[in-house]
Amino acid sequence: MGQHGENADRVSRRGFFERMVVAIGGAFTILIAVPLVGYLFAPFAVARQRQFVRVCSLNEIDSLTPKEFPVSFTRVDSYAPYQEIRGVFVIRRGAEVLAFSNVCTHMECSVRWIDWRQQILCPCHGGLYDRWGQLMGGPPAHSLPLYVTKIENGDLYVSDETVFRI
Amino acid sequence: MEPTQVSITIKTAVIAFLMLVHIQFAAFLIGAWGLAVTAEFLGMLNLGHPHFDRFARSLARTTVIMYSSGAVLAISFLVVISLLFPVFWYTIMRITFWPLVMEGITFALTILYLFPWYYTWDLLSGFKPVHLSLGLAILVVAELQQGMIDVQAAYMLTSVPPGDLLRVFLNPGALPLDAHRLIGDLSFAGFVIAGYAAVRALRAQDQERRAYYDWMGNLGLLAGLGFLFLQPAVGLSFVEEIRANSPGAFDAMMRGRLSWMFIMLAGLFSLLFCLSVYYMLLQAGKSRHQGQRTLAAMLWVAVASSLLLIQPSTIGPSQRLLWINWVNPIGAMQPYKYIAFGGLTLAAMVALLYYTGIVKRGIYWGRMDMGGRRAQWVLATLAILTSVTMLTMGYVRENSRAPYLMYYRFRIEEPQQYPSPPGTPTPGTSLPSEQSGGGRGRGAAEGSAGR
Amino acid sequence: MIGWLGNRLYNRLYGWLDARLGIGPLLDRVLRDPVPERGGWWYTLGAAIFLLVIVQIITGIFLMLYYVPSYEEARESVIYIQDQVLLGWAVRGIHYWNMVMLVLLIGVHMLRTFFSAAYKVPRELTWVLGTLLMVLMVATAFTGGILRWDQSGYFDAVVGIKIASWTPLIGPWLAWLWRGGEVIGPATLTRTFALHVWLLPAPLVVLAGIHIALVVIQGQYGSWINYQPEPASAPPPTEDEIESHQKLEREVLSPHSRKVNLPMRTTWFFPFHVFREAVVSLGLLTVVMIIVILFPVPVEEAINPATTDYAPTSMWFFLFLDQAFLLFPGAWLIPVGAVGVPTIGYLLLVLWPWLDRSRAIEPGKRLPAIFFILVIVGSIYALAFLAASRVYNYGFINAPPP
Repeated sequence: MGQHGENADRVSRRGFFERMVVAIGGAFTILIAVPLVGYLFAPFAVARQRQFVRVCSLNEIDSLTPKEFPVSFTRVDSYAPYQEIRGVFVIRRGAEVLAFSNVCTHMECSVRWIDWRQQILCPCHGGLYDRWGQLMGGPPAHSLPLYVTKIENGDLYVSDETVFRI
Repeated sequence: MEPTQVSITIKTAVIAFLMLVHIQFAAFLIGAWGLAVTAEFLGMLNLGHPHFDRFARSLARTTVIMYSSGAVLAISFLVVISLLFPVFWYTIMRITFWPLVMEGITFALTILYLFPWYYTWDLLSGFKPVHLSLGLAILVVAELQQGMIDVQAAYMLTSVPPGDLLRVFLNPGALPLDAHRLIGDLSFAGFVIAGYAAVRALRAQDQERRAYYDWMGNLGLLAGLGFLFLQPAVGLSFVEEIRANSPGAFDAMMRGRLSWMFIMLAGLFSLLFCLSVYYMLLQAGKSRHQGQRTLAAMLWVAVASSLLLIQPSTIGPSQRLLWINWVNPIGAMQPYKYIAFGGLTLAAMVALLYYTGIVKRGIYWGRMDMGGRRAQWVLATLAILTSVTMLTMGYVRENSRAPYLMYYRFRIEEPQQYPSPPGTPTPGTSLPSEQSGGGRGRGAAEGSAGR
Repeated sequence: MIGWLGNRLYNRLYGWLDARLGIGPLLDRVLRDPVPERGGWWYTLGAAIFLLVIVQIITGIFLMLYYVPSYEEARESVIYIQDQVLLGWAVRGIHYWNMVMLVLLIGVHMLRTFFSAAYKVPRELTWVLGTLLMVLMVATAFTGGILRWDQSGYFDAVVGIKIASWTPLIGPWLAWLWRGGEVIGPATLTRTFALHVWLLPAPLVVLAGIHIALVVIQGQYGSWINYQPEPASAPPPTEDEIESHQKLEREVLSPHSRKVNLPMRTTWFFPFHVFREAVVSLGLLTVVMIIVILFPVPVEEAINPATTDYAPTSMWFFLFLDQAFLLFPGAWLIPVGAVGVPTIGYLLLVLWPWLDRSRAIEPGKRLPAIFFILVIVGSIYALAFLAASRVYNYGFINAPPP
């Protein structure tokens, strides 16, 4: 026993057990944590599917007033498919057709077109966008994001993917 | 006899003069009542400082003396506006009828409470809580009075359809204007008291009076800056309502013809902040524990924020980078404007906290050396600057409305040219301009007002 | 007769438990804890909060018997509870209005603690636990509102998740974690339900238990404003009273607890202070019940993110924050305003006992702290009222001016 006291590098019996308790506790935690963390972050693992949905026909699209249409995406990233409803503004700008989201870039409330102001307004904090969805004033961070569009047989289709716009 | 034609410029000038002078009185009165009641309460707590009650009492006496002057100006305004803008006044009186009734009642109540409060000071000196509740009653009714007139003042800038009484009372600008005014009153009164105390301190002959006025100036500045740094947040709430409801007025103020005045205002405002922190720095030099480093740092922060705020063009690649252009919109200074205000607010908060700690630990009141004399001059400047700031703010607000008197509802031109406001309840009678048709509308209006 | 029987029963029960658990001294310590004989009504708020939290948990459990946390059926189940279930409107109403009362009470309780300097040595830990409890309570209230899964609940979730996503560095991660996916869907509702029902209330109850235990251990004495003064006509303390007072100071209060401001006349916690607590709790519960009967809790329209009419409003206790958002526009300042300022404010609150190290207890001797808290509370009030006025007028903002 005296030998253990002289040699400072060697671990005592109590020290050995203390370290084993810590190691086993760590192993216990890791064993449980791995499946739990994976479970929690499962949504990251689901593959994203892109789909195109019809918005409206091309002759409904104006070049002066943005019109809002509800579109519905079928999503299967949960236990059962569900319908995700979004609002899409459509307007012509010169030769191109713009489709942008109705989700404000501040706190994600749903914006609306105010006719007498000729501006898009967010009813949460007064964020203002012009008729093409570009930021004009208020707290929002940037312009309304554009939807990826596709034109087929005289109808406008949007994908559920949006493009960031300053 | 032909009715006298008065040009619109002269009419607005007269109204503006009356209002701007009245505002100085009224704002000081409400702020002074707030500060006097607080000072009396602190005196009651018996903190070992004998001056609080004396200060509150002299402030109360000042308000009693000034009250009638302020009221005379207000009543002259009422007479003059019904002479010069009869149809407008008649219309808005009908729309904001109940707020004005309440304003009249609270006006009477203020008088009812004010004179007993001052004249029973000695009588109730043993019953301080009773006396204080009388003071509190004055505060409540005076603030209600201001709130009711703010309903009308805000209605002119952000109007609503007149049918719904709740909507009229809660018109978009009413509460923000009320909050902005209340805090502004307290700040304004604080700075004016500080300036007055500074002048008295400089002219005082004996040490005791000098010490008292030095302390009073310090108190005034604490109130002045203490409420001033809350103003940008409340003012922003007000301007957001203007943007949502009267976009033309917002454009004029922030992007158009009045934006140069707004930049001037931002400059005055930053000057108020920087000078206040400078005063605190000078006073700290007279304390037993010299803790000036933090205050000096805060002064630097305040100055830096001011330079960020009052630059006339936006930072960034722009052909106007070094070009002084007064019309360049302050509304475009995002987000530097907010960062600058944040910096000013932070500097003021830290400086105030630090300074109150220094005051608690002890200052040699009344010493004019070690920067004491300069401190008094700073206070006097602050009083003048704050008065100018308030005048400018009022002028900007009233002018942004042009060409309306009630936004969207009522224009400033000759009566025969504006339509009757839609939706106004007309129980039985019709407007004089409608009775006599187009041309003689004004004469008939003046005649009926004169009778 | 009944009193005599009850007394015998109590003694037998006490003896039985004491022989097995050894709780005699503990019960004595808790039930006979000295409290001031006069006044102390402001000290009943903590117990009121505790009792109302129990009411909240019980009504919540009962609501769980009918509520379905599914994307399509959640709102329908809430409508079912409100309209069809016998007294369902009452249970749901109590759950909602009790929440309002609780948040108000927490605010008043916190202010009272501040004014009576009950966060100073040795009670810092109690204060820290209290701030944690406040956050848990507010988070529970917030997640509960989302469970309605109508327009208001949906947009509460949207805005809440978006604020989380504005956190620098980890923002989008946090948002994904709460949302359970790329967009708000069934996973969001399930996770919110788990948060509201178990993940937040469990720590709440545990920390509340520790909080109360700390209060019992350290005693409830505060500053002079909380106790009514002895009337001038009261007789001077007798020799016995002085002696028991000194004994109290020596034995009951440990060397670590505050000995100043110990009122001369003390009495037992049970039943005298418990009586005060019971009166206040009953009064508050009655107020809640009256409001439940007069003001039914609404269920708004079904979720429609493509709406052009609905103006989302934040929950009433967040209105001041909503107004403060106006002060931080643009992509650089939004994280500062939405995440930075509340976090710093909360840290200030938690660390307050270490920022205010003075030993003074009476409000008159700690004026800077008092003014500071008055400015903060006043600002919150003013911002909330401004937000309410703004929200009211935004309801009419679609209509053109005539």
